[in-house]
Amino acid sequence: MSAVRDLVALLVEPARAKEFSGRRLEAALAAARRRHVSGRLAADLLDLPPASLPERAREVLAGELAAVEGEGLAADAELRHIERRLDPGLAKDVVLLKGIAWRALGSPVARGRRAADIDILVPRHRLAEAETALDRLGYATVADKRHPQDEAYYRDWMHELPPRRHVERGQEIDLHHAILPPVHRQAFDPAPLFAAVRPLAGRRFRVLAPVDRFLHSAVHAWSDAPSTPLRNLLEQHDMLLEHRVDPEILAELPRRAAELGLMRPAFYAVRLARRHFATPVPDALVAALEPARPAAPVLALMTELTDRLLLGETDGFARTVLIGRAHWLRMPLPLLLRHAARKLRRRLVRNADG
Amino acid sequence: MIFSCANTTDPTVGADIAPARLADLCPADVAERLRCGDLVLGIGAVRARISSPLPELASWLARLYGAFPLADPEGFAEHRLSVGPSRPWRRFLRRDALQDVGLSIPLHPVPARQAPLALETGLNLLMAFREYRFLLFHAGSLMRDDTAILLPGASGSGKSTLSAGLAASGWTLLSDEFGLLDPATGMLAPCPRPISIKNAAIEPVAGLWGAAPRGEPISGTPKGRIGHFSVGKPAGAPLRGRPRLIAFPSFDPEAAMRAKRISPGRAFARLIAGSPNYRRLGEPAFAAMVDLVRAAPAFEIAYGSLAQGIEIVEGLLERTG
Repeated sequence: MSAVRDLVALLVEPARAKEFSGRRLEAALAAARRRHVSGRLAADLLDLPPASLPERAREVLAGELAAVEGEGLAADAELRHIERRLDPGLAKDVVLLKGIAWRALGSPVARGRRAADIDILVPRHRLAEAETALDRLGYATVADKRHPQDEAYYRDWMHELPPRRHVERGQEIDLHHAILPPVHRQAFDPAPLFAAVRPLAGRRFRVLAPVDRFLHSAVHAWSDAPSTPLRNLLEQHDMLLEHRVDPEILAELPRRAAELGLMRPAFYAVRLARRHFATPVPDALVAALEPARPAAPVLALMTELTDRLLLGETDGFARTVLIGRAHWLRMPLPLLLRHAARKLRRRLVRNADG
Repeated sequence: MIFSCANTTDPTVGADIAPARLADLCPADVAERLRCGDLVLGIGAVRARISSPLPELASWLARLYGAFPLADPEGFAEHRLSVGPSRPWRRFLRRDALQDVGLSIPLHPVPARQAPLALETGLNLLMAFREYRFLLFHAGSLMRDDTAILLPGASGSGKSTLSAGLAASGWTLLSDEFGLLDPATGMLAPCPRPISIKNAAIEPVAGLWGAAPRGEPISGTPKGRIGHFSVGKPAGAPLRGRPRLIAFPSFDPEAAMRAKRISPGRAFARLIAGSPNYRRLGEPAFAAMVDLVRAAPAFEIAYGSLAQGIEIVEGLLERTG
């Protein structure tokens, strides 16, 4: 058994830890750390009766969970700091994304999940205002993205601005104005997302609607370059479980995916969650996403690549191909070539200088 | 792989008494365990599984970590470190060593003769970025009876040299690179890896610890020449010391000997500035820090010789204790 397969087995059924030797558990934890899901593994395993784990493993997992939680609390505090200082009119147009949103919602997805960065989304017409406000609060563009070409790349072609970091506290924040780059093949107008945002009790900031949270995660993982694919799939698994009790949300999912043109990533998310986490999903949902099933050879190839990406000990090959695919989806070929040529030229110039 | 690893779960293998310390293994066994990932060292409260195909590391470990306890290879170790060639052919041509600590930070290979440095910095990285059971400070720590002292300081402040000196005059080394504070109990825990001493300090420390296991000084590192000393019997896993003194050392051959009391608040700020995990451990770390700076008076100490440094520490303990 490989360590990653062990890890997935433990995430699906934590009680199996009883059968694991200390060494095997150690390897699964190491695999979880590499894939940024060690906090979640820790949360699951610490819920087991104490005798299920070696004492040392319990202590280490408790530390792992405390560190993830500490980092999350620091991000929460930073977010409240920003919320209090933004103009209220602007603040109500700020939508929380990803980790920080699940934390604000108290969602089960946030359990043991790292939320190191703050990801926020604003409508395009608020972008300049939000940028100025963040500048004023001390969040400056990170040093290695201050090159004019990077700036131009982010501003013209991306769905987010270059990452910012607080000059003293180091908290990183990503300011988005869309879910996908405007030149992406699956790009869509984010207006419906803003129209459907949900309030958070006692707060100015808002979050995406449940279906949109799912689609955002799916798009991020399966239509873009996934840097933490296992963690993304785990989010999708968790959201499917979370909303299982609310059949309306699951019925809404394929409708919304069709409306936004995101049937394909939704299809992959549901298929891969069932494949790797045995997620219980209503047959109706699976059937409703069937129209997005790609041609058999494409599906076979994607299955092979995603299996390797998710479960491989070394995922170099599959990752390279999927990053290539993500870039192919991200921008039309001439743009991609132009971008690659500029990057290459800059690297050559830098090497010649240095 | 040219070599294969025997399956150590074979019950006949474990039939003899399990070796207690690394020195109980013959050199070939150390190399074999290293190759197979079966070498789990107890380093005070910390446990690390080390694997490597490099013979340089086998001899380094046997020499400097001989007195450290071995843990069951089938058990759980919180830290895993492997050191090997950066590319497959680098095993034969222009041999080098690169550590894999499972962190996504850029690391650079070193020539194979500096492989021990890859091991030691790899262990430092694991402590700094993966150790969350303890609040860490960039500090040396020592104990005598039940009294522990913390010597925080940046690289080059002389804290390692002072630690080596104190360890030669009746103190037990708890740790050199990082001080480990247990937030739950407020006690300092041991991680007594060999002390690393740089450049001009190597000779005086060698004078104190002439008979102790030491590594051949490694030259040509970014910090110059580095010598490692295994000072005294390594502190055992359960050992804990109550911190009674915080001394920020600064060694200056020109300076007059002095100790200046600093406020608890200032000590707090300086300690967390040198902590790799304070921010991530949140409120329990804050509470432990408050208790620490309230209970242990803090001083900036300056001294021109090792003997003076030891004298100041002893004097401060008498005065404040």
